[in-house]
Amino acid sequence: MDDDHLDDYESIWKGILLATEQPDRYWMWDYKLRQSSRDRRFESYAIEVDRLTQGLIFIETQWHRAQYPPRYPLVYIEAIAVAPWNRSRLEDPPYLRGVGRALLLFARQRSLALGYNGRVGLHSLPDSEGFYRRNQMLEYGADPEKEGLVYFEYRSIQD
Amino acid sequence: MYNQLLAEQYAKTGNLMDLCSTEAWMEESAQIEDEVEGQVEAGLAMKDYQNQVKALTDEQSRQLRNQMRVQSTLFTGLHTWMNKWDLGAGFKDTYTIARRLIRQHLADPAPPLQTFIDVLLAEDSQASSADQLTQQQMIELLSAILTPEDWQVMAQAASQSISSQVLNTGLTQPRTAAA
Repeated sequence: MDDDHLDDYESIWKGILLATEQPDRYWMWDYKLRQSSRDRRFESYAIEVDRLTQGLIFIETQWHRAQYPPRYPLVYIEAIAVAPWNRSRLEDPPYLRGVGRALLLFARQRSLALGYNGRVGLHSLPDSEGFYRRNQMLEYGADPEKEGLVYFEYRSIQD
Repeated sequence: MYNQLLAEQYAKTGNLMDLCSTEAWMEESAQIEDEVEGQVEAGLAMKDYQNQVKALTDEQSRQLRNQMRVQSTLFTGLHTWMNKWDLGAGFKDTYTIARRLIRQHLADPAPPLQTFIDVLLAEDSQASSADQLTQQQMIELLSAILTPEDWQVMAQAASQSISSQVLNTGLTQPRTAAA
C-alpha cells in the first residue's frame, strides 16, 4: 500500500461520503500506512486494477494468537475493505468481483510465508459474516472486546 | 477455502495467489461475492465505512462509478505517458503528485477535460470512444489539463525524490579511511 492507494480511499472511495458530510474516521488508512512503515508487525497492502485501488487490507503479524491450537501465532486482519463500485448491492454488475476473496487468500499466503501454516483470524462486520462463512472460516462467536463482532479463524492448511 | 486445494497449490508453486489465475477459482469467487452482495469488510475500523456505503443512494452510486471510470482512464494514460519520461527513482513521487493535480482539475474541469468526461460518460459501453483515445490524443488531453504551475510542482517532486535517493545512498555506504 502506498500514498496513491490512500489518496484513492480518501478521495474517490470516500468522495461521495465526504460530500454528504457523513462522519468518518477518514484518517484510518493513513494512520495504518504510517503504522506499517514504523512497526514491522503491521503490514498494509492494496489491490490495484486500471490504476485505481480496488481493495485494501491491513494485518498484524506478531501479537495475535489462534483459538486453535491455542496460542499458536496467526495473521490477524485488522481491516479489510473493497471499493464501493465492487458491490453488487450498488452496481449490477459490480465493476470487479473477487477482490475481497483475493485479499483473504493473500492473508493466508502471508501466513504461510511467515511460518504460521495459513492461520488467519479476523472480526467480521455483521453484514460480511456470510462471506466468511462461505469461505469456510471457523466461527467462534461474538467477541465482547470487539463490540460483539463475530470472530472467525482459519486453521492450518494442513488440517 | 478448501484446505486441500490450498495445500496442493502451495506445494506446487509456493504461491496461493496463483489460484487467482484459474477460471474455477475466479468463478467461485464471483459467485460467493454475489451471494453476499460484495460485502466483505472486517475490523471495527471499517464499521463506519461499510455503513456509509450501504447508505449510498442510486444516484450517488452512479456518480461514484462515473468518477471511477474517468479517473481510471486518465490515470492509465498518465502512467503510460510518464513511463516514457525516464524519471527512474523520481517516478513514484512525481506520479503521485500528478494524480493529485489531475484530481484537483477534475473538481472544476476546464473545457477540454469536460468534453472528454462528457464523451466518456455519454456512452453506455465500457469500451467507449473516450476509452479508446490513442496515446497521442491522451497526451494532448493531459497536456491541456496540466498548467505551467503543475509542471513546476511535478518537476520539484521529481527532483526532491531523486535527491533523497542519492543522499540515502551516500548515508548508507560505509566510509573507509583513504589509503
